[in-house]
Amino acid sequence: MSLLSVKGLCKSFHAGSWSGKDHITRAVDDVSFDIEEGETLAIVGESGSGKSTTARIVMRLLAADAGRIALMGEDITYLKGKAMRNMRKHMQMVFQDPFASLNPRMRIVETVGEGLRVHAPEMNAKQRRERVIEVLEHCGTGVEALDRYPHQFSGGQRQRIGIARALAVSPRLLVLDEPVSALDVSVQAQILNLLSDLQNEQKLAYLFISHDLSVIKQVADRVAVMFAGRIVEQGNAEVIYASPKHPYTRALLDARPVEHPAQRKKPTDIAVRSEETVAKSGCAFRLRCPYAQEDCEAFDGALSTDDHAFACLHPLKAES
Amino acid sequence: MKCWKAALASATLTPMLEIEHLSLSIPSASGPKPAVSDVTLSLESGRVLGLVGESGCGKSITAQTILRLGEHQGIERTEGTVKLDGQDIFTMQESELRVLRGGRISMIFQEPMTALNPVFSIGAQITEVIRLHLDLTKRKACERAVSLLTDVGLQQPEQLLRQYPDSLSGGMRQRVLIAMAMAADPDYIIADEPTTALDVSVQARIIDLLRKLQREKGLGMLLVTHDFGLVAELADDVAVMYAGHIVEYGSVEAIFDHPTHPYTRALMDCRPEAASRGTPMPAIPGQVPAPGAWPAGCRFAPRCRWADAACEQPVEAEAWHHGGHWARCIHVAKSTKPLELTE
Repeated sequence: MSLLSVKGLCKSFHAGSWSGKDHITRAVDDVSFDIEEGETLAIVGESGSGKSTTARIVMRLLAADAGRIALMGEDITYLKGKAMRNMRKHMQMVFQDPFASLNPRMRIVETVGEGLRVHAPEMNAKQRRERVIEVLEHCGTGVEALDRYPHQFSGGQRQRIGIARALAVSPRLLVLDEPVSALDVSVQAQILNLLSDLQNEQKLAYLFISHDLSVIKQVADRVAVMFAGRIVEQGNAEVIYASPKHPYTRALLDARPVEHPAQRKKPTDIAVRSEETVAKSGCAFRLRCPYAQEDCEAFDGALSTDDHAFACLHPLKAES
Repeated sequence: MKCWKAALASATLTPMLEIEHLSLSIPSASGPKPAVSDVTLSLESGRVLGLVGESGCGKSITAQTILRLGEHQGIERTEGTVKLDGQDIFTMQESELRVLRGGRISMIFQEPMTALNPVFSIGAQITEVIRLHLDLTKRKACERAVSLLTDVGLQQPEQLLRQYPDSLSGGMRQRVLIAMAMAADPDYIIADEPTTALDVSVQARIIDLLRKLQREKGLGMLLVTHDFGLVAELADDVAVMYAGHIVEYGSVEAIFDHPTHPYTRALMDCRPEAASRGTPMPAIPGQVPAPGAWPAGCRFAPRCRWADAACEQPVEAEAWHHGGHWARCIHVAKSTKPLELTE
């Protein structure tokens, strides 16, 4: 039994416009994945690919239109009230912006201890304070932080506090939505190391959402690549980085800046052909895809069922 | 049409943007605090200078001061000059500054989502810049706007002129902003984190575009960034900034092949690209000291594993130098051994 199992998740957003036309955006379209205990699944994609929406649906912060979410074997898709509250302590979220995700008017001890009030009502104030000290120390923040306010901390320290808040109720799964993208590179490394240590100690599972392939390479056991609301490739992280099957994954990998000035490429054609165009029918990526052929117009985007799954009629061959 | 260009042609000076011993202070509740100290840099036309550092090290306000932006926010020059072709920009009148800003030196900002005015059409915003700097009729200005938008790779520019910023994606907005920056054929361009807010594939295309424009027009570019990847893509020379001053300077090859200052080395080592899965990433312990709270000696010493008692004395800029490559460190010999910085 997987710790988290997501099947056929769908979510559409409706946006009325001034012209009276009703736009429907399929933000998440038939997304399925499993996460085992102690494992990191990373979802990578560009803005608008649906990766954050997926995270929010898994956390039950948004309602799914269709699909099932099972946590520790229990279907939580439509759980309500007390039953849902009981399940929430097993999954917690860490947000992107360490400046916006902490309440500026609450002291750190209150912020980190808030979850305990709900999930461990039997604790008294003293016990809660002790637990808060324990998780803060685990996350590399000293006791002196307790009675301060968020504005007294730097971005990296705030993100540590955000992680401590999530860990206070001893969850099994952390959903991390771009946890390091607002941080400086030196601090980013500190936070990634912290996440890795916590995972090893507590057998935590991570659903790690990021747009940064280099960061994902550091943390992920498995990777799911999202494009236009669908998973287009999913599998073992090392395999996907070494030999991606989907042309979109290849394009994402190639778009990363070079690591050394000697590797600079020749400037390519700079005209915007279809920088952010998504095809309405067939394979959504086909308008940007250098390998697209006629049959891609009729492709339903179904993911293959292998361990290394991909949704492409003309997958890339492994590089020799 | 462009009298200052004619004046420039008759002058005998090498065209160059020079920052000399610049020190800046920022306001705070307890009075002005030093934020930049003794920065000396020069930018030649046709070259790209990367100014790299973490947030809070003073790189953005250094860049803004070249155009004397930020004065209304209370950022004050305490020392030094910025000279454009020998002329001190701090002696310029407001009218001269209007010619300077966007005319001789343009700026591309980080946030393409907020840098455009949402209530004016793209056409109105571009032609405003064009007509401010060039003496053109409305019709000619529109024609120029169309050719600028074509230059930055946007299709159907005539239609785009009638559109409003909200109907454009982040990548398209950044292209519009680059087109606006190019409106008056500037000699220098300051790009402050030009791709930070963009997706990786859009970023790759904006990098291509900046490189093409810079080469074709022979622009001098100051590239302000925290990302060594962007530097590797675009820069000819690199200045690494830490806690308000430059700690290392050299050609891009020198910096990447022989990073010398412990801070530069540490910063490069903690890029996720450089590390491998399963081993802890080399992080830099601690954080950048706040403006005004700099150590008296080497400012990186509290985070540096090579620091000793000798580092408590102030370090000269070119404490170590080799050709045009220098580093503000007295322990270069130690630090050029492989670093093992961990938390």
